Amino acid sequence: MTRTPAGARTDLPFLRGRSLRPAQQPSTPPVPGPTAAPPPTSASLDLSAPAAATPPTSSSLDLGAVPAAPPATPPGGTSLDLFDDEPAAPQPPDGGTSLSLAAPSGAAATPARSPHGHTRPLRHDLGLPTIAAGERRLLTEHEPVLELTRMQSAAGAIEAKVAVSNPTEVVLGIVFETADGRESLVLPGLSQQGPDPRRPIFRATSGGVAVDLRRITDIHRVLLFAVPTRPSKQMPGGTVTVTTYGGSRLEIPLVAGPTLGAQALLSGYVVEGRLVLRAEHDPYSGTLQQVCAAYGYREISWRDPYTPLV
Amino acid sequence: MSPMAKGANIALQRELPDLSGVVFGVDWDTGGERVLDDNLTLLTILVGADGMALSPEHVVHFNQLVSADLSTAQLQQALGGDDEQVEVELTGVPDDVAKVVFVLYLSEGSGSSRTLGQLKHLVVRLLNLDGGASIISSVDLADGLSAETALKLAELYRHSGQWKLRVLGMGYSSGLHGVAKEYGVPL
Repeated sequence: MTRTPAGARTDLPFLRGRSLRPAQQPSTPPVPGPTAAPPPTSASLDLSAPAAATPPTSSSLDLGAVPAAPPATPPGGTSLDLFDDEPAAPQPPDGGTSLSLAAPSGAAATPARSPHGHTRPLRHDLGLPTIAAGERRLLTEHEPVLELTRMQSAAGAIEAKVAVSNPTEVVLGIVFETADGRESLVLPGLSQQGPDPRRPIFRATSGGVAVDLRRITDIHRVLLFAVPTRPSKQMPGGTVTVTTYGGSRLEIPLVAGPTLGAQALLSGYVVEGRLVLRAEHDPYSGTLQQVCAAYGYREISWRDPYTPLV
Repeated sequence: MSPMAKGANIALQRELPDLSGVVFGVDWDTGGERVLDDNLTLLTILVGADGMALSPEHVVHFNQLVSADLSTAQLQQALGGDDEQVEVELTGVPDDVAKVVFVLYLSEGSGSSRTLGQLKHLVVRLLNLDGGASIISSVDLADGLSAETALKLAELYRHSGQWKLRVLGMGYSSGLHGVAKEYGVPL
């Protein structure tokens, strides 16, 4: 996965504007016509291998460094790359689960227009697993990704909670980038809600964090992480659950062991109005600053490697 | 024309034979209650003869602004004095849609509990999609609300080959869950 800071998304104009009634809006409607498809270099969904350039056998850790070149992407991997800043690499024709949003897929209909200017946005079939209301799903290393429907991505909130024998041993936090490019984080005891405390999208709850999906159109991406509270930075073993308004529950293992201060758990990207979630199963921990940087959140200032300036 | 009361209906094309589309507008007053303002959400459901949503793509809301058949579209920014508006091209509504239901609900994702009983004022109105002329408006639907968290505002329905509008004002205390269950909208 290429991890670079991403700016505000410009690739989904149909989600941001609609035509207005001609009688009341005589100027040219802002809605793109059929020729205004997303540019070829727009956001791409790359489900190939994770970006971790470090071989699994290495014991060194440097989450702050940027890889000099994109890592190889063997087929069949599951990393998620939705960044806008770099041209999409050519995809192998038989690349397993790789998916590009740069051009309409076979499932995407040509934009149509109704007599009064209602336009159909390009609808890409992401080809990802979905989840039904009330269903439980363990996000394994082999099947770490799923997408929520547009309704699931807009209803109520998703809430992450930690289930361990002693809940005081770990806290959950969330780092995010809004649709207008702002990066910040929510961490219990430090920053209870964000980005705007008067109208928060993200907030700390008892035992976890929540994302208000009424504001889904204001979200670009998120990363859920865990921070052990013991001085030894030992992560307790357990499970992190993420529940939707409809009662679907995603489960992510919390692996016991020593950490450097923070552990990435789940990343989320808003793709054409759908929230795509991926359990990271990252074998490496780091300071909170290192973890945020490794996942592309580099527009945050820090008091020290464990404490963001929020 | 005097405001339509709850339960009242009107045969749209009897009054306007050339009517091809309408704008359904909702105008509310929260009395400055910010959480209420931020979480009021309009949902439009294209319902089949079985009383269920035709498909998840036939449910229009802020995160899915246009129905799959393009007949129904919510404006990202309402025009005029309304807080939300939905355009319905009546001639483009698929034949298997028996009615189009408009629902207002309170999103429950903010962690703050509010009810529709806190609304000071809630009126719906219908405009002609061609030209924007006003057709009808309702009485204040906020009257009598208390613990409701969702409200069926009105429905467009077919009757003898023509479209009619009925003002409803029927509340749910179970919010979006209750609406989704009634119309088979998967959450």
